[in-house]
Amino acid sequence: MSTDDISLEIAGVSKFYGGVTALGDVTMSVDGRGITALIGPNGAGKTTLFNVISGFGGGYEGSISFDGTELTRLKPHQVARTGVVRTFQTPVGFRTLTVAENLMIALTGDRLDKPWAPFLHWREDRRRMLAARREADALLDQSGIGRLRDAFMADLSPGDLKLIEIVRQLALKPRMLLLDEPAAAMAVDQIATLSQLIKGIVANGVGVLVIDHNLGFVLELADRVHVLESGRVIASGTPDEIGADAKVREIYLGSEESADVA
Amino acid sequence: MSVSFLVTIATLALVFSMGSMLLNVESSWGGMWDLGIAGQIAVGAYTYALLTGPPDSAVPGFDLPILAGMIGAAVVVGVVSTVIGWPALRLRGEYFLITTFAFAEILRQLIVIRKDVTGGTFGITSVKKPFAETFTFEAYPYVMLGLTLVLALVVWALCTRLGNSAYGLTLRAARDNEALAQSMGTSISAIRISTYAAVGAMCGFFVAPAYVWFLGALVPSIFVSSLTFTIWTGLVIGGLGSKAGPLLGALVLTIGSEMIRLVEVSPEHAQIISAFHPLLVGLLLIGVLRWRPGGLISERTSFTRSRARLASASATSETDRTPSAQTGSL
Repeated sequence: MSTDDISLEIAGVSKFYGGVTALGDVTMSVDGRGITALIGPNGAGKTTLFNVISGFGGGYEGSISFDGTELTRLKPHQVARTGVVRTFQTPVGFRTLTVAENLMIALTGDRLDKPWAPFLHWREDRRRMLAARREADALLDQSGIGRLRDAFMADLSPGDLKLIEIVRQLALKPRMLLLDEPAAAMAVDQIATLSQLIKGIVANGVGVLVIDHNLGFVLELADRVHVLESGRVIASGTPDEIGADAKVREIYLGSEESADVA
Repeated sequence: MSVSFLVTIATLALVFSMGSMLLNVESSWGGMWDLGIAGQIAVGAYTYALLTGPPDSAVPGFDLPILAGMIGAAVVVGVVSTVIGWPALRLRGEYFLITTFAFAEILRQLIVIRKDVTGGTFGITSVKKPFAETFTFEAYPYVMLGLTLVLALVVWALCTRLGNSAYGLTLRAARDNEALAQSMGTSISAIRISTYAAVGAMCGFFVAPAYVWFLGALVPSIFVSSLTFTIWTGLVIGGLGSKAGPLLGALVLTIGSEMIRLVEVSPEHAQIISAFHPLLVGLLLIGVLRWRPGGLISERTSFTRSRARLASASATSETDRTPSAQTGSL
């Protein structure tokens, strides 16, 4: 798929909760230029894997690296600074702030996040705030949600929040974006918009790893698919191969009903 | 008589308002529910009194200039806050609250025990006040009021600047959603410990010396938890998270509740009147929370103007010049 060798390498990752194996020796290579999907029934360990990659998982066995940078023992904010950025399954954002301000958090950077910075770097702080606001407005306009810029996050609908979740994390200019169920609870026309957005992200040279329950959406979108079941990778391949895999059909599709209930 | 009483009440109200404004930064914006602010003020007050006190008193001081005492208090409280914050900030919500509460009590007990440097329960009776020799005894309360007002305005300006900055925005974001802030590259521990220490240092520089000047003498019983709760009440009445709210809230609280002392009664009724003071505070708090749950000024309202200013500056981006970004600072 790719001529570059930028990738997220997950090597022999295991994670246990008490006696339960949440992830069992998971090994996969995620292309840093394409769209990789991670599917599997509820409780298969998809979100656990996201947590582990993004530094929220606590201790685990195995190692994870991105483009040669070891992520294994990094804290969440350190992982984010390497360019591996995630979204959350239930996006609430920063509730008391406006949509534009939510994006500004991503755009002001973290150099000024010290209580003395507003005084020692007075001019730079004001300049960055204004530049961030401009950039936020431009990004929201590009994403077709410019009208929401001054709305408060607490007042928005779940669909808008889902979209803002992605747009905000994109404002961080990631190199690899991990999307946790972006299409969940979305209407059919919204999913089409989402597909376009994700294809646009990849066209800009950003790798995408996406979790979703919507098999149609995922198989249409992804270059490569990994199937997780009970914490183990049971199949990997192209969407066509996965769609035809008998084991996947049995295990994954067999539990569709229960997935829909949840 | 009653005019000088009003001046005294106003001075005290301004001292508390500085505490409320600084508490607002760490607790409302920073999400750190600090019940130990009385301890931080105590450390600052004793540091100031020791650094500036006369060398020949019962507790020998260093007789340093007032400004040196203020800076010393800022440094010491900043360091103490860092030491307290280091373990305490690993805890969340109510656990942080209880830990800071305990630390404040430990600090007060240390003040009682270390008689050699603090005077123990007897306290420190002579403190250095600014311009004390320049003005007459009758005029001095007015000087004190003016000076405290200037300090309160400086604290307001500093806190407002913090609130409108990129730092302030990130601080509030980290309060709203810790995991998300982390996933965007913010180190929660770094921004919180630096905030806790900076607020402590400002308490040491502004609140503690102003309180010492107001009191004229120090005893450990001043720094019990009721001081913390008074500062908190002012903040809640004024509006958690608003920029001018804590200033207003502490003024309303202190002036409103102390006014009862103006009621002239016979000595046998004086006790009843003084018992009315906490009742009045309670009623005021309940009233505000019942009819204005966000306080007199809410956080959302408080940031309306700064938001609008950024929005309009962004809309007119073609005419971008540095001066346009500079106008209307604070």
